[in-house]
Amino acid sequence: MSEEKHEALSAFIDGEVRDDDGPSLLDDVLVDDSLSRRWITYHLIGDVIRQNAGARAEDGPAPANAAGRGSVSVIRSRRTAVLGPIGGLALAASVALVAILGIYTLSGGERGAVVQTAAVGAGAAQVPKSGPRERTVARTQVRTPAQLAELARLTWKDAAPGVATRLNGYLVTHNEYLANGMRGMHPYARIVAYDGQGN
Amino acid sequence: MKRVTRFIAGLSLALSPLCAAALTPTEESAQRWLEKMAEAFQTLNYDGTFVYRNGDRMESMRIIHRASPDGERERMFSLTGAAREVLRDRDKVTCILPDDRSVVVAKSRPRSVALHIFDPRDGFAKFYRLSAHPGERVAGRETALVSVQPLDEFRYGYRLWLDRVSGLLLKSELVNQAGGALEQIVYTQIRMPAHIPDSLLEPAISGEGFTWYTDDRATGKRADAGNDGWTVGWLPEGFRMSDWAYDPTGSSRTPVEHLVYTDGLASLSVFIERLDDAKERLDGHSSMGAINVFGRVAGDFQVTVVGEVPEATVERVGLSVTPR
Repeated sequence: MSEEKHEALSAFIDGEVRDDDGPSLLDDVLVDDSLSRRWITYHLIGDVIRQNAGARAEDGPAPANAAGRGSVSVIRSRRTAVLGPIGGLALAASVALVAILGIYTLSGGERGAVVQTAAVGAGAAQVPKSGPRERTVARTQVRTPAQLAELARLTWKDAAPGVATRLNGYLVTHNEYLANGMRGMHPYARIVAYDGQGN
Repeated sequence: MKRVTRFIAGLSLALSPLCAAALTPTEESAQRWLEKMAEAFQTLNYDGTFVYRNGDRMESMRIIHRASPDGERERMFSLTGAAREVLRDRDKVTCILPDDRSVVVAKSRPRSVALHIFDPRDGFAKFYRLSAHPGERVAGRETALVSVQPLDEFRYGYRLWLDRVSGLLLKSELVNQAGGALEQIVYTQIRMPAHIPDSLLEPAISGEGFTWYTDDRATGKRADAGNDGWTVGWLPEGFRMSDWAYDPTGSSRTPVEHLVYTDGLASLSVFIERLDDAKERLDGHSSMGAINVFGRVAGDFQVTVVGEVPEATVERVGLSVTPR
């Protein structure tokens, strides 16, 4: 595997893929065993960072209600690519240690930095009024109301925030009415993919 | 929920042999593959990682799907970028969107085992050309490639790589009429375990403190709509109404009239919602990936067309929507 491919894959994992890298990178991952292994390793790092230390990559992230109190459940870090795989593992290990010891980091200064969370079970359709509460440190998800409005606008091209919120509901409803053929093509991937970082 | 379902499986089965005779051998082969694909997605357990690409954006995701006599359960979540998740069971769909601190909950619809795609009685061959070919290896598995090419400019086409053993879709491309890929999904690994534990289908992130948009409010009545209904004056040839509903959607406090049209593969939805002063209007186009949206204000109502069809199609449909 060339260093160039290595760097391209690292950039992709970090959400910074170059325009012309996309199709060829996908093909490379499919046919290049070493690149595939690197891909899996990066995802393992990502899983650990997302509070899944000890979990196998094929097991995926642990459920919120099984992750223990004080879990660092939502962290998006761009440090992985900057630090490289070794640095990423070190960072992951330190995050996991924080989670295991139950030490909560409270930023305190920024609105929404500490989010009171509760498990969203498969059967839940409303915010539980009581029950186990966790503190989640959501570093890059911490945004001001103005930033949130801008995110909604970006998710749906040229749509005002209120319209974007309405369109989210429409899209979820529309997906449920797709013909059987389209359902096989994972229409919800669009919702999962769009994090408001651009369109 | 009031709903009109237009597909009648019995009639379809009765007419299929007559119409299928018009298909070429490669079209018949492609049709069989597509039916196998649809069945596989509903009846198999699978757990895979795939890459979703749209333009210069790429995201990797994992999907876990369990089929059982009690119904399907599915969990999809992002492995890169914001930690979004979508959970689906037989009752509802829950979309957890941590980046904008919201959760959208909608009712799910039962997925019929009866296959309506590529139903010959829909005259499918008039709108798409089907063909089947040997495919490349994807996620270490041998595939068959099915090409679905649109014959007019009102819909998109598809290239589908299906697992030769199970029929599962391992790679797909949504393509415009010129053959250019608009969206791509490629599995990098997939397994089909006999058993998937509940723990893998639970969300990894939580939603308290988020804004929840649910549709558990009471279903509206037709008389509440304040109008005599709406009609769509133009649709691409082959599109028929498949469903109608008058329900709240995830973000709306009031019921929304929802008309669904499909040609058997592509679908588009027309939403008509009463506006109040607080609601922002959509006048013109928007999009998310290959989903195009066109909205306009008609009197006191917002008309919005949503579909994975070209921009010109949603616009033309949207402009043709009028009160009865």
